[in-house]
Amino acid sequence: MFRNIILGQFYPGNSILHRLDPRTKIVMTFVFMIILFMVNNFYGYLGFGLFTLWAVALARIPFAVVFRGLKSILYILFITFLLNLFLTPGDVLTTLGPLTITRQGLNLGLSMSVRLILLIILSSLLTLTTSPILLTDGLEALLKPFRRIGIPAHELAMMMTIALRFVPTLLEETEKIMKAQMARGADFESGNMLQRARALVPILVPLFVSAFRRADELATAMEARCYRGGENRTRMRELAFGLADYLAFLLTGLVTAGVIGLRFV
Amino acid sequence: MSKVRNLVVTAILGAAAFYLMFALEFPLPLFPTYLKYDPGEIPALLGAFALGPMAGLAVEVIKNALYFLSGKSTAGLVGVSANLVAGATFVLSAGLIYRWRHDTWGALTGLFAGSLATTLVMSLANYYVFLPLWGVPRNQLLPLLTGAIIPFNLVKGFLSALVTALFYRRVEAYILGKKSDWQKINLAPSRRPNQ
Repeated sequence: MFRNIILGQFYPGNSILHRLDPRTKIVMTFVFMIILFMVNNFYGYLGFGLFTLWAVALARIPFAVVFRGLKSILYILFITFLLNLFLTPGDVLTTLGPLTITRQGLNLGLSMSVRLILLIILSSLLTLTTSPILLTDGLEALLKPFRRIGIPAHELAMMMTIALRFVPTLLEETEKIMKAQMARGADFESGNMLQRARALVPILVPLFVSAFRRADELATAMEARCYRGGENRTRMRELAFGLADYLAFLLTGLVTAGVIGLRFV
Repeated sequence: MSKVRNLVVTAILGAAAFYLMFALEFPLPLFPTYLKYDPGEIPALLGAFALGPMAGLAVEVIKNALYFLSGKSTAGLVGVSANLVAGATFVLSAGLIYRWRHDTWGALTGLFAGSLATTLVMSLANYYVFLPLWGVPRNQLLPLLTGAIIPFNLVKGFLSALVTALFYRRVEAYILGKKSDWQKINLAPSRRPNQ
């Protein structure tokens, strides 16, 4: 239970993608997600699709694990495909009763579906190969330059870390409270929407009261150890770019250039 | 109240928000399944009321970041950013109104205005960004907006607002650190009849 929620998708391993610096992976994912929307023709999608499959192979994650994430979007994928297929005006290919399929509709439906699938694979590749703690460290390092415009990078990362640590505790606490309330005759399962929302109150009040006691304890412990934010803090894990990271940046640049080239040539 | 305590309380509210979103989300009847109700807004609203709008915003950021990491998000980064935009609007408008008028009336107006603001912002965001991103054709945008997005956001906002209104006053003193459940334990001996 604990593992499932916290590590979520993370798939431990030692592939080259696992070993890349988290900063590199975050930047790459964002760049790829943006340029995915610049792809506008068949060869672009083909190239990008092959590239994504190659990345999945490099990560040494079973394809079944990667595609598990896609199962949940099948519904929306199917709906948008049908909407595009039948409702785009253009050259008529064939007619099915009152519905007409146009060439433009088929094109649009297919390319939108491929784009969505690639988008999901790319973002899950990041969370599959990077542990939450490393991702948090990477985000903190990347957000640091934005301190000047008021983004509290260190505080956000610290809060993420604390939150990650407290999720299992809260889970255990909630189960205990729900059982205690059910023993007193509380009913969480039946009733309409309004009644179900109201039934949350007897869970939430004790949950928050005990959560804030833990917060008090943790805050006292931190202050007793003279916690004072990110200034001059030393780290157990230092992030460092290696040769693989520079190669990854080079590759990102090449793919970006390729996509832009295919769009305008 | 110390700065460190604020930080820790915000973090724990973020964890609670994530947990509620993760464990208790359910599709509302009559709506497409990708529009799900989740009670994750409630801890963010608590944070916004007790510690200010920016704390509420931080809770929303933590909640969505954890949700993205958990891999339960069916829509990847797009779904997470849609939820973040909706939550941030709700929490910031409710928090700002409550800060301006710090009483029951202000809290209720804040919650109400927050629901309306979220609906408005999400309609615009869906029309111009999210629905086109999903590849919904242009002529289907308006029917989807009036048929699903607007009623969904209103219902979602009002449900969260209702639950928050029902119990905020009961936990306020605990968030602000004016009261803690161990105080009851410390006081207990003197109240015991046999002493």
